[in-house]
Amino acid sequence: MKLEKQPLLTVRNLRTYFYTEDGVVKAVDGVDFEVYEGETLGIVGESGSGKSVTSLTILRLLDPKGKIEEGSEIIFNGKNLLELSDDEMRKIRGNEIAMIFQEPMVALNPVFTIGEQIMEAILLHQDVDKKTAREMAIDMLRKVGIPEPQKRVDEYPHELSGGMRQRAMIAMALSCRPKLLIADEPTTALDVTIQAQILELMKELQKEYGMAIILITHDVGVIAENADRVVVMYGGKVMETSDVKTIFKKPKHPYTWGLLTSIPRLDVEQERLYSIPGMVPDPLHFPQGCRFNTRCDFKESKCSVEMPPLIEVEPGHLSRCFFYKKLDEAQKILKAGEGA
Amino acid sequence: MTENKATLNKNGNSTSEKKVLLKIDNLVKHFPIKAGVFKRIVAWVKAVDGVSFEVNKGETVGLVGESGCGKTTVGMTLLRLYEPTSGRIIVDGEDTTHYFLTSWKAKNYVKKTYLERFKKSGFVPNDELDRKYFEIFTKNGESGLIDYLVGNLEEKRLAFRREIQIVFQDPYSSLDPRMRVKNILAEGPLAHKMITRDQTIDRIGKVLEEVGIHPTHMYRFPHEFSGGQRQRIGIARALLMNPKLIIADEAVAALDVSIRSQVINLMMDLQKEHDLTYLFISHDLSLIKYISSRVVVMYLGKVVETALKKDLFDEPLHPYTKALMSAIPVPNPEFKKQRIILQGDVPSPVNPPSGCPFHPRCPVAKPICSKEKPALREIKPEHFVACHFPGSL
Repeated sequence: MKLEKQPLLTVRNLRTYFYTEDGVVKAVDGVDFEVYEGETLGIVGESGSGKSVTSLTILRLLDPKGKIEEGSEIIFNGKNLLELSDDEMRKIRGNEIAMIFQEPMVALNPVFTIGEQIMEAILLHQDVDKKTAREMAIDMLRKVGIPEPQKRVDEYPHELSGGMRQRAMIAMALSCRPKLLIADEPTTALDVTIQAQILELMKELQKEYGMAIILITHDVGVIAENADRVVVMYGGKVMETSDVKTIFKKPKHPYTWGLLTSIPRLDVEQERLYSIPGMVPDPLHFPQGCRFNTRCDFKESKCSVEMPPLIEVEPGHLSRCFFYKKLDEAQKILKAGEGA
Repeated sequence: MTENKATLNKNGNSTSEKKVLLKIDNLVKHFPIKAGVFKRIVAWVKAVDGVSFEVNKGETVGLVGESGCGKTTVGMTLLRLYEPTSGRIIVDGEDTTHYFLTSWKAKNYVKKTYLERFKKSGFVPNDELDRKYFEIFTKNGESGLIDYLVGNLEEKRLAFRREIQIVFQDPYSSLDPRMRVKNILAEGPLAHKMITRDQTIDRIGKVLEEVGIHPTHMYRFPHEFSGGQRQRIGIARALLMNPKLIIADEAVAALDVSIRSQVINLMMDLQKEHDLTYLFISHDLSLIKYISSRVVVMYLGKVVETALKKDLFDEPLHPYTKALMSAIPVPNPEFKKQRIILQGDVPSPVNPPSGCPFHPRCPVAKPICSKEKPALREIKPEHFVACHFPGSL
């Protein structure tokens, strides 16, 4: 149903390399995905998987060492963002595509009030006077559930609690009614009861505004409860992508499977956690062939030679693994209640 | 202190019978807030406000709560990195609360806590400890008890420092960047004369192997290791001291998901092998469910619920525990659960709400909740709840 719609954002062969003194860091190395209108796309991965760099690349907010390589495409609403001038990009940033960051205390400017910071975006992108902008800012604060918005609008970030700051960030991001909201670990720094509040708020606002959300997180639980479709990243590449139900029920990549079986869960009894052996590879020295091959339990000799392509294993379900069929056996073992 | 040495030798008792290793009795830790030119105390942060629980030998107790609930302060006060404001910390049947005070203050503590009560006519012992100390008091008199409790403080401190170890949250700041791993690990055992210099390499090699690090890597510096490996080194450091109790304060929170399960499994394996006792402090209820045998839930400096793991997760009785459980995202999109979204933030521990600390956020609060502090009551065997209306949510 969703697949027939025109994508709002299409990322094709995105490669972002960082040219450091130690060598080239291929932080994002050939990433493809689409985001459709009104949906939530979850991007999940561990540190160093390239998920955050992907989001920064979409907004072209990379630091000078980072370069978007030739042949990458980011098509938003029919325009290739990589071909726009800086001025044109500025009109999109914060207006049509907005972003919320992990650490609201770092992302908010400590010397301006919350109101001034929300108004900045409104004044930049909309043709309104200061008084109206202030009214709109207060309105937004009310919408994100901040009590006494008339008073809070003149407060500085340090006067708000962590949850309130994240609400203010959301108010700022949504003040121009973006079509796409990128949320990079929006709740990682918050307590679980506050996390539940913020995620609920994002869901409500998404319904109201009809925007699409890219939700970036390392927490598969957050993905399961909030995303419609999921992209699993590892070592700068997409390992698997599918709708959320399928990926949790029938993962077709050993990494996804390992990730899902290695977390402690509240909903099932676990004898012993599975653990993926080894460690996250250093992005300066990715292994030959499949990037996961050094940690994979299903590895064969082919894996350390050739990079597997992203193949469609079922309609709408892509996996970057030669031997995804082996996983079915493993899942039978899992059902029997034992880790491999 | 002969007792301590004796218990060290008779390790490896049967674990079937319950033996209380650690007992925290009404622990209070308040921090002053100072202001003005004269640094006058203007208020108190009531970080830990009357916490009691027990840890049995060989078990893992999970201490869970949100940030600011005082769980880390409990750990730090236990280790005596903070001096408790009041309350008792009892390790292996001995009161250790006064161990790190000056001998004059320690004497005062003993007088106030025990002697004053013992001297009253018609004294009835409250617990095991009272009985034990009262016996010494009747046999050897006042000076005898003071001697027993305050004598050889230096030795007692050393033993205490050896017996209780901690694994910290941040594997980056808890290892000295300018020391080689070998020296980091050897520091403790050498200071406590548990090994001689010639034995260092041998002993450290063995421990490193146990935690899954190649023994030849002992000559490396901490920055040459990844986060997960550093946490393994932190565990090795604790393990080397043959501790009675290991406090793990958010020991895996900073690690990536795939590394986290490696470290958790390692800690559980080591527990089986060495008959270790853990106090596992974490904000992550799913992790606590996996690793602990008993759970203590804290909110705003107080214990709100404590029970065996199974009882707690099958039937949480405190509304806060229930809300906390429902707030944890479950990695199963088809799992339907009752969602309770709490309103507002955790109140400040400087000015905690009257009555039940949870009442401003509680969905089932009644008028009495804002007036009267609920006591921690045993509702079912080994299931304690501090709520006027347990199980009502």
